[in-house]
Amino acid sequence: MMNLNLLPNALPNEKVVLFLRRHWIEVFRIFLTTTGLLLLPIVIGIVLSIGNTTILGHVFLGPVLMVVLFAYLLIVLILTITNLTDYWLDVWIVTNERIINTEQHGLFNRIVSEVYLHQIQDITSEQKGFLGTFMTFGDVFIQTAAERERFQFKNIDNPDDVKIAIGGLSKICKSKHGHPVTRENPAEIE
Amino acid sequence: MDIPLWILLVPLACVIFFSATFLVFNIFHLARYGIVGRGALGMILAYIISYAAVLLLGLIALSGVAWTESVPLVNVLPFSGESSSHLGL
Repeated sequence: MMNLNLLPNALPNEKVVLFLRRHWIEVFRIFLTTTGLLLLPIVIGIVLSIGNTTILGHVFLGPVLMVVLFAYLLIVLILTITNLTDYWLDVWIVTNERIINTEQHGLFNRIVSEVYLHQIQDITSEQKGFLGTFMTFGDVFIQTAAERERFQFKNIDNPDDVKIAIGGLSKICKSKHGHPVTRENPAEIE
Repeated sequence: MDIPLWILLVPLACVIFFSATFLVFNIFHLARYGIVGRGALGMILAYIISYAAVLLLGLIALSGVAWTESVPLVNVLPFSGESSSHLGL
């Protein structure tokens, strides 16, 4: 397990400033999907019982239905567990020196990347849709000078506040590393 | 020709095996890559308890069926033969 007090390749005097996960609405979505999937066999059962009330008592189809239902429940449970693990392992750690981006895509695809705060050129926050606006969650995009995909904090809580906080930290880092505050670095101008 | 009921347990055993494997992978990922704290430990515990509960309830439900019995092929389809009397349903 990762210890926030012992970050990998930690720099001297490096401290965790922000620890971010996706908004709790994502967990709600996972459980909503699970509830829907659990209700599906009940709905099918009701539909089947309308035309044929004795199907569960059938010599062969009864056990078949029980086995299928059992297997279905196990698969739904494992899908829920995998989605929860995916949610839990997607974290963004902002320290006073860098941002560590850890993303889990399924069980066998994991991406860990980092960007130093003094390399940041542009920070954009984005809240989309009714839910995003109402529940104040959205994305934060961080662009560096390097030719690489921009960092994306997905569906985090209060993206505007996070953008301001990272902008402030970036400004401090740039002054520490000797980068002047100019209009070419929009992240530094508030 | 008769079909033994236990044959239905073979695909179920495969599903149990794969789901248990995925459960272990999930627990491994949380234990390996999670953040130190009560959250990850709580999730691991919740995973194990929920999986064990579903497995136990399913096995209890299936224990009512006489799996050693065989069903004549003509009785496989609904209403194609007499209804079951040896199922514990």
